[in-house]
Amino acid sequence: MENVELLMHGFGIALSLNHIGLMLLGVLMGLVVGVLPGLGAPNGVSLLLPLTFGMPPVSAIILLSSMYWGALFGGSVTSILFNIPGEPSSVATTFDGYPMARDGRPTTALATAFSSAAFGALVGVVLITLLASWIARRALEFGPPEYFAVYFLAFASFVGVGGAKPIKTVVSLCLGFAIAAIGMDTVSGTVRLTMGVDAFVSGISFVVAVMGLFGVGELLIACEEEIHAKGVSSKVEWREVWRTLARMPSHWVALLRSALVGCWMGITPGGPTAASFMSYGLAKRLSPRRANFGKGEPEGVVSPETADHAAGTSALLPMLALGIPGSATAAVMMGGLMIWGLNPGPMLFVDQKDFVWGLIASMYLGNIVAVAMVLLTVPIFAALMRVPFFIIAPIIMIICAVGAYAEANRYIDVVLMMAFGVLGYLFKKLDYPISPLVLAIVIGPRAEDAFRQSMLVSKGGFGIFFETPLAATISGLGILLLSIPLVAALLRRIVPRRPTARTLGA
Amino acid sequence: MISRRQLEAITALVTGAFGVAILVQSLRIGIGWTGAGVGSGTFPAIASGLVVAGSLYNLVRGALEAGPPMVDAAVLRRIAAFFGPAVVFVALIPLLGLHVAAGVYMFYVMWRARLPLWKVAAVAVATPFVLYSVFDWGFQVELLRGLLGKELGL
Repeated sequence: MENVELLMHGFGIALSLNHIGLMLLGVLMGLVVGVLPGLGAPNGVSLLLPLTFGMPPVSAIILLSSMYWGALFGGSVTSILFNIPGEPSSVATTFDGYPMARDGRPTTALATAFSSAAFGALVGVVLITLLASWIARRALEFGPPEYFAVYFLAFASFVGVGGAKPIKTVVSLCLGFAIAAIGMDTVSGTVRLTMGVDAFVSGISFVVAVMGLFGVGELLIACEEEIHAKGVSSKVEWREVWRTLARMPSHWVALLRSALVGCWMGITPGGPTAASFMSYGLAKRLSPRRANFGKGEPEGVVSPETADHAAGTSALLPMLALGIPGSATAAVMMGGLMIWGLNPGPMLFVDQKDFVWGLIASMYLGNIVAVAMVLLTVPIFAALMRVPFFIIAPIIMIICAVGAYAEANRYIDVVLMMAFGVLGYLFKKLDYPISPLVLAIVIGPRAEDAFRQSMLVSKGGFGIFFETPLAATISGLGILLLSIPLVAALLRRIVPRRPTARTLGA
Repeated sequence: MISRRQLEAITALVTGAFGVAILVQSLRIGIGWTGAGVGSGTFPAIASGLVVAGSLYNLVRGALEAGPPMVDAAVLRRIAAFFGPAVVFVALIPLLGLHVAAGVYMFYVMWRARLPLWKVAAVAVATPFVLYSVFDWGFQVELLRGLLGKELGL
């Protein structure tokens, strides 16, 4: 097994004192951003980005990915103890996690969540270990038309199976592409679409968009519903942790099913949030203890948590192998890769073996570190939640302003961030998905390059996306996914709606 | 009081207006096959065209949307109480610099919450120094000094 050998080599890189230290630091910071409302994994990773420019890429990605794991875990802590999801992807955890904690079983709820999360993450990493280099090898044969077809497929899956209203998803996505196109046109070298604003010549950074959309927008949503952190006891009883762990194997069906859902949603960029909801909905529909859901059913915690982490982890697979991020946070990391001078995509597996396998090995270690850290620090972070929101909110606001400013040392970015914040608020209120916008900003230039290079080959004909069998298959799949909402709408007209269908959550 | 219908309309108009702005500029720089590749405006024109079309759809769909008010007066007041000072903070940055503006911002929110004055003062004074030591000194990211900083020769 060549992969195992490479993985061992990766462990050799990841298991240095320096990198373990970075993992601890990353997980700890991730827990902080995960716990605080308004600061999530995408912001946290964007904030750290300017601080990693001096590091070797392996160290930088270990720091950032550890922060991602930490944030995923931190989001569950507040969901369970306070009924306040620290991350959008842990909303589904509140449905059964909070009732369980409220009824006097906080340790059981936390231990169930963390062990399912660790299992989900593990499945995700194993999947990456086994598949990433194989996919990358296939992808080396890709030309521009195949690449564009893959981008198209990724976007089509957002629209088709992302869960939000299809047209709203299209608007969000295409806004991102339009924003990405502002500034220097890399092909012709001319400046375009600046609307006469000099500062736009260098384009609009995804970091600024993330700070505004996820940071300021999230704060605006949070201050709507005056948060009162009436937390339950946050003491961790270790004996109960072990008892819960011993019970985990009995949930094997839910664990496996949720991991599968999570991996699927992570690879096709549906993202962790959609994955956790879908997994919860499936568990509720298929479980014999259906009536117990919403009242503290263990599988109601197992399912969303496993899927959330499986999706979060496997979102890095398409980012590494194809250069297509599977979640907003993966998009930010990919932006980082490009800033560090790496070219995300199959060539990484040829040119940057140390980087790729160091990262994959660190994912195994980082998740173990995260489980240990989160169990040890629950009381501290629970205390953090008791700081009143009117103090936390301005601090997060200041941090976001610093993050937006530090991206390019430009004041106008801070102003832009505020504008993105208002847009983020409107989008959240009206159920526009935000991740597609960020993804489109990050990979917009690459998608456009692939499009234009294909056009150069075909002299302007769109048939090129269906010329080779590979491109045709991928494009066809994309069109199929795009047509799902249309077909579903038609079916609803013909067949009377069943009341049980698609009642996720609540 | 803002209804869902109004909120949908506002959002659709915002996205639509941005789409039109990009579309107009893309058309001006040229779209379609030019003999030496596709015009520089082609890709943004497709994207912004879809934004405009989608916004129109959302505008019409949103107009049909009924329902209780989405943002009532109390919520609006809470949002204003947070966002107002935040906007002032951002507006003060070019004048006072990021460090001092953040200090003033923290002072205001804590003072308004009627916390003990010594606490308020301590946090307000500490904020610029914390920011300086973490970012300027620790991470070597020089934050904006502003006009005040220039006057003081920092």
